[in-house]
Amino acid sequence: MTELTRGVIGDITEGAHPDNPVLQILSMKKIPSGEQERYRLLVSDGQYSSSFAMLATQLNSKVQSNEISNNCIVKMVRYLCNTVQESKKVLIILDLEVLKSGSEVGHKIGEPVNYDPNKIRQELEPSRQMMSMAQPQASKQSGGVPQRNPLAQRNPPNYGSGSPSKTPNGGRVHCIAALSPYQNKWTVCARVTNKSAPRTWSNSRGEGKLFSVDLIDESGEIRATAFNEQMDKFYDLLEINKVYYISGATLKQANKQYSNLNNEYEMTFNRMTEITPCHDSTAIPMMQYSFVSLDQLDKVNKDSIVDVIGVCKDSMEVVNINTRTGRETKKRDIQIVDDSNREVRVTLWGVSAESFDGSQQPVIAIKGAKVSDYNGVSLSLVSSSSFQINPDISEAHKLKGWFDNGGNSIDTINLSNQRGGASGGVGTVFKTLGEAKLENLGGRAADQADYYSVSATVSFIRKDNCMYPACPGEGCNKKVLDLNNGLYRCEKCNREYDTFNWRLMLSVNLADITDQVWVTMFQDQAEIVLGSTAQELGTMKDNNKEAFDKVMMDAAFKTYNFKIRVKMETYNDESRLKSVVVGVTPTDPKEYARRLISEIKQLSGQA
Amino acid sequence: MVSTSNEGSMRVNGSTLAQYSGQSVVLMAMVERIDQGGMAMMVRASDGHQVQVKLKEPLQGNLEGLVEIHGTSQGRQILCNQLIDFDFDYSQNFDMEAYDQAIKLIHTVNPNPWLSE
Repeated sequence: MTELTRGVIGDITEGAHPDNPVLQILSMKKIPSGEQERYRLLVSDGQYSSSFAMLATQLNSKVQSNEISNNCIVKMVRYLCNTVQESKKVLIILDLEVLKSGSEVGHKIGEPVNYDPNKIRQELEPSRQMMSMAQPQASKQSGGVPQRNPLAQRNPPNYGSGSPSKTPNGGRVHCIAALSPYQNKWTVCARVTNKSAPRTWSNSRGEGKLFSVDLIDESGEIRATAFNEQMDKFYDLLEINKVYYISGATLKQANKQYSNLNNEYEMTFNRMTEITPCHDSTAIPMMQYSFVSLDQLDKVNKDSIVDVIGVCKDSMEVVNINTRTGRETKKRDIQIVDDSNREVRVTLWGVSAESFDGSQQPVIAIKGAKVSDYNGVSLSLVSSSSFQINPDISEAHKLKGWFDNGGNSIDTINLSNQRGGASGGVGTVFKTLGEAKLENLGGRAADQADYYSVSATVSFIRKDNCMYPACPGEGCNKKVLDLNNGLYRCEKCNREYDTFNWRLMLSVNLADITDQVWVTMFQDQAEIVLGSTAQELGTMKDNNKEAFDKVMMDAAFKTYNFKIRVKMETYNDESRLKSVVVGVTPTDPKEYARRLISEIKQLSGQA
Repeated sequence: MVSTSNEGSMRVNGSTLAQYSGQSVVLMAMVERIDQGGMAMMVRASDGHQVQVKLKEPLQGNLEGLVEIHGTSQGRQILCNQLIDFDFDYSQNFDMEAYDQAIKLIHTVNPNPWLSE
């Protein structure tokens, strides 16, 4: 006859944590909670019953398979008792063993009374003490019933090898997989495997900043996010690959839009959160890499996510760029090499780009870099990527040894066609006009623009229709219609103005040693090339034709660095490449000469 | 102009000067020291080598910074036919290192097609 551990519900509620208590499940109720359903239980120890009990979701299948059914007798192998809403205690069964099925038992054992901690504590305090003393006898009689010992230390769950089972305060360490919103007063011991750069947000509900870390222990992984003050508090403390005790964070349903971790929940640090470094934590898994050798990268599909390791051979300057969404950010390109004698460009973004120091030629291990086919093969860090500098792993030591013993001077094959200039950003890859044509820039993919930079000389400027009267409305610039009554109508703004602005739309022929190309230049770029403002030119055009012509003449045969966007455009079923100058800077002879030298060296194999 | 050939001059640095002994060369250099009497000076070539420049006429006035010397190579020395000096800003901005790289590059091609007029 299997016996229940009488009175254990009271003990557990009072904070004890006896080993393997035996309970009867009287009834179960399905409660909806987010994506996954949970079971709330009415449990009995023969003396007390409690309806504040839950089944951990990983045990749901045992209910569905009817292994756990009403009236069954179970041994709680792992369980938690948490306080919710001040005084209410909730028992969560993490793992159990069914000793007798419901059909075998068939009825409620004994006459349990609902355990009310407040009432019972007052009434039963003396008898509870007696009961504890009487217990060893009772268990002797019952034989097979696991011994219940309320005075024993809380039982550490069986986590396997030597990860800390005690928090610094002597509390129990929980495992990440068992965390749920239904418990508090937990502490996990976890390694940080990834730490995002600080981000800011701004929306209708306000603005703020956040960062997140990915945590791992041997049971699983979880994303944790810190906002505002918590970010200030924890950002510097949390370091990738270090282990921490973390307690008191809020748990909620994971937003899968931002996280690809395998956990139903995620953590948010709050005012009560405590994080302390843990130093005896060898059993917590290290960051796991599955490195792809650089010579395998060209076989990997574009946009794949890979782990790589290499020595940072060269590191470019940080440059400011504007993203497609108009946000300003920083980026830094670095060149990494490995012992397959391949070299590839890796782009770091934001704070990582700023803080990266490549001067000591460190080994860098990158988790989750994205493969790009932009100009050969290159890698880019995305928000889920992380990297470690000089990680203490065998691959890193091996590479460092290779690099220091000749690897640094071996000729490597550069997978990335690197010809960036100092100005940085999209389209900073310098090409000759001939190369741009040869590579079919702008015509490679439908509706996709290509950018490149070129040092070229203005050879001819078309004077006809090079400027138009534009709407003076803020940011409009639409061509206005001269109503010949002193008023100018803008169709876009749907109103008339008594004035207009001159806007330049210059058609210019550029030439370099390899080819020539017709490009369009708008206001800002055109004013630089013409050395005169649109308003001045507008006045000249009407009043001083000679001066106007002279400006156009003088602008020819000057050399600039042009940044050009080229795209296939279709007018009346006729497709042609249209090149627009999006940036003009005077060619700096020093920079130009150095670029040519490095290109010659690369082409001749001396680089 | 004392030119031993009519094929133009070779741009050289300190270490390639001697290879063109007896031929017309062009040397970019920074003035280091002018001899008393102004008939010779010591210059530092783009590769850092010191080269002595012999002049045909005494120097008029002061000379400093960057100079371009057109002349005839005489081993470690150069006999100057024409001296071009540059203003201060130009001297300051001249990328001697890049220039030297270019000199080295053009000497890697044989026969060297880059001859200055």
